[in-house]
Amino acid sequence: MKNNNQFSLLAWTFLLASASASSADIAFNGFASIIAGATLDRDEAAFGYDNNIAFDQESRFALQVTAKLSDEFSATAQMIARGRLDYDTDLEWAYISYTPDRNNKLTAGRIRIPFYRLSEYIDTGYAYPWLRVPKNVYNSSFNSWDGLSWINNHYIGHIDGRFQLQWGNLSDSNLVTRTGSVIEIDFEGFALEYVATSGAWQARLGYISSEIEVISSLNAAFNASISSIENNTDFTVPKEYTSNFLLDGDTLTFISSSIMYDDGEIFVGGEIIDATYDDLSINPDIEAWYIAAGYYLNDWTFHLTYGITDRGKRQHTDLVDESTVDPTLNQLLQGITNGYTARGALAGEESDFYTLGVNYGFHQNAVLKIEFTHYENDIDVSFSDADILSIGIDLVF
Amino acid sequence: MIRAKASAILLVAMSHYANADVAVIVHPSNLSQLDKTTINRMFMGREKSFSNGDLVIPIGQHATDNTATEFNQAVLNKSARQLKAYWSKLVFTGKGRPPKEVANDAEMIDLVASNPNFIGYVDAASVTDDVKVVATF
Repeated sequence: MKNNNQFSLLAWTFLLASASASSADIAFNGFASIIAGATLDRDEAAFGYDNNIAFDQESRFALQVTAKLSDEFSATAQMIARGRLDYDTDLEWAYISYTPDRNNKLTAGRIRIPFYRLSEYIDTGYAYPWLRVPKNVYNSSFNSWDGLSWINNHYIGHIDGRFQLQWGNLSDSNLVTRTGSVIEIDFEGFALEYVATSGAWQARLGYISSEIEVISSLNAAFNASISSIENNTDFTVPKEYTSNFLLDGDTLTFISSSIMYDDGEIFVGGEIIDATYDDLSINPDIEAWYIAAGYYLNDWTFHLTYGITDRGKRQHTDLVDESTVDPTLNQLLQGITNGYTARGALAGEESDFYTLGVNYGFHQNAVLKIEFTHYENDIDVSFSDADILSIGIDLVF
Repeated sequence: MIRAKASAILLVAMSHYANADVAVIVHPSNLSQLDKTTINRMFMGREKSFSNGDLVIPIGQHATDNTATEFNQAVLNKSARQLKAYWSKLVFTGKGRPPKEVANDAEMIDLVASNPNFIGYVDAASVTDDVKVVATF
């Protein structure tokens, strides 16, 4: 289903591009990242790496084609092949845009969700100093949705402002939980983003509100148990108890904010995210932030990053009021909690990490990056501490 | 008449910035007043109009060129690689394309002299009467 959808978009974009090849201005651009990494200890695993060197976890190749049909209309498609997905080609951008004037742009198609500061070019490693964006903040399992966006650029009082409004949805998308389980979900909502730039300073605020509908899940057994509890004839079950156990129907509110200073000699800044669900949910709220600083010296860049993640742990008593609930019902619900706990679904996290990196620009279009990250989990034994060393090349062409 | 006025401005500009290296040039008929911030915003793809409302089309020089290095450093506060990283963000998000580039000062002067929408830069010593200098760095 997902593939069909992508293929039709791909075919459609190319048809559009080729149909107009005689008159349109067509540009091809691309980028690639080849990254190798491993943890330094036999027992450690993080970011998809273990103690064996892997090249396929984060390596990617992308090709973008932009067809400018007129001053107002253009079509763009960006195809990405990821090592992690056996280099199967994925279409993460595919849209037509209409530019009625110099300050406004309307876009329809597959577009990036502005979760984070780097969301829109998260795969273009050449465009930012890290080899790997700070994973505690950049933790969404999907980047794009299908929908509409309106971008307005303006210049007021020495500040360049960019406002973006998006509406979009995703069908049959894979939500990868922290424990690695994959839940298939529908996702629909809107996003607002504002970026202000003045000289070396840039500040950003993002807001996303989205409804989640679970299509199928590994937790089918849990869903069946919940249904049977709901449908029992022995006692009435308060609706909120059972809905607390389901991600389905929850609304995600996601707020992100960042500030960055980069004058070409040094950079310093930080970013913070806050994800909450309207229901008391099995999916814990997340708060995470990082601060980073770097120094440019000719072809070299030296940088360091420190960040913290706080993911609220869910207890059975958070989901069920044990003082009022029917004891038999509580026992049934406790069984479900135990099942989730066994899968790590309710697990909390208090972790911090630091990253040290050195970049060397050995070619106008290519940067060699070496990065060391130490990750430390303070409360959850199922995710061990880890030291990860990575080396990679980011290039654009 | 315009040419004479342009030359007069050029002379003032040249004498005022005796040690300057890079001259930012426009078509002689372009009467826009341009400060460093505005020129920066034009070459970064942020400002798309001259003060009279006409479209701005910035033209760059090859990144390996000394004039380009000088301009990128003095006006854009960026090395060639930082500038490339900046444009990568815009290119791969469909927000814009970097300025077209010319190979040398003579080509730049020919181009800027041919179109009032263009803005470019050359070594101040290469400036001719065919173009107007709006700033020197």
